Amino acid sequence: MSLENLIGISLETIEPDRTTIARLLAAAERNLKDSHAENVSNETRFDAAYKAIMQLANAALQANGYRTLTSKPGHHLTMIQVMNLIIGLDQNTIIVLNGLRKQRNNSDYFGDIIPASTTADCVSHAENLNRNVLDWIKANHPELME
Amino acid sequence: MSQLSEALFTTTQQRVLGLLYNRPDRSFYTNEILRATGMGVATIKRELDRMTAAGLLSLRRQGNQLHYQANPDCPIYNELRGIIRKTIGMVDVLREALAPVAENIVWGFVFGSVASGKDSAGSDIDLMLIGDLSFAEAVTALHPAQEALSREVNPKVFRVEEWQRLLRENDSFIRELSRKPRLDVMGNWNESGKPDRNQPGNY
Repeated sequence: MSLENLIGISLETIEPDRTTIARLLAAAERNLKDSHAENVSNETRFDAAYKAIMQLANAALQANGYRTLTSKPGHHLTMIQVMNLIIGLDQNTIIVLNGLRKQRNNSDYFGDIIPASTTADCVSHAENLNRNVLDWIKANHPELME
Repeated sequence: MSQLSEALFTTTQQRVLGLLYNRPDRSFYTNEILRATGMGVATIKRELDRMTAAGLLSLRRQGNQLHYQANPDCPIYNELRGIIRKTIGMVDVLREALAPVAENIVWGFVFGSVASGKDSAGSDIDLMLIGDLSFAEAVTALHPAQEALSREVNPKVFRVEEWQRLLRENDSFIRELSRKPRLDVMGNWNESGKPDRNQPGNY
């Protein structure tokens, strides 16, 4: 699978926009902070961390000149899967992120509870992804970080 | 047993194939099969004879014992192995996948539509894991099993203390679980010496 193969199927090409990327990174930063909030449920902390993961993945994707086709379903799955091609994220991390996506799905649509250990993993994966994405953009598209 | 295996095989066939086709590496003698399947001798013998005649099983006489084994020369051996693994053998595949982290698991069981036999082809396997492991460890261990089962496995991982707290609080999620069927994969709550009194369904 290459990114070009996905154009028109789940991705479209765009001109990277510095403002949008900066806003996504700032939003991810806020959500990461919220994911440590006390006096809120595991679900809410999980949601904040998961949202940060999606915003970071989206920022990396857009910095690379793509975005997901919102007209097509499954763009969370697409964003997670292309992270290997975009920032070289290892396959094992992608497997875990995809597992977190399913937990979020079952929580949102079926009211499943989110165990504390799952929230902990979601938060730590969001923090790692934050570092990876920031490093990657700095190294590959420094013009977008000015 | 899933709805799929119920639709495909009779109960006797499910028990016999589930035993012999999940362990094609060894043979089973008649009394062993009777014990493992918990079914009557006439019923089992009839099924064994028919499967042997059809070539699904091979038969070998050892002393005065008859040994039956999944027959790899059967033209549909590989296909049948796959079907059994994906329908009847699910618990074994899960147990095998969890082997590297098994010592950290107090109790693991399948719940939801697959456990109650109401699964459709696209149903995920909902797997409860209680013990000292992380979600990431569980997902990583289970990933290869998804391919073998052709189903997504969706683990819920609770630490023992968290599970105990949910029990104490009589959480609605746990209450609902205790009323629904489950398939034990490994361990149980009682064996681990955890309190089980006054809990619905021995949770």
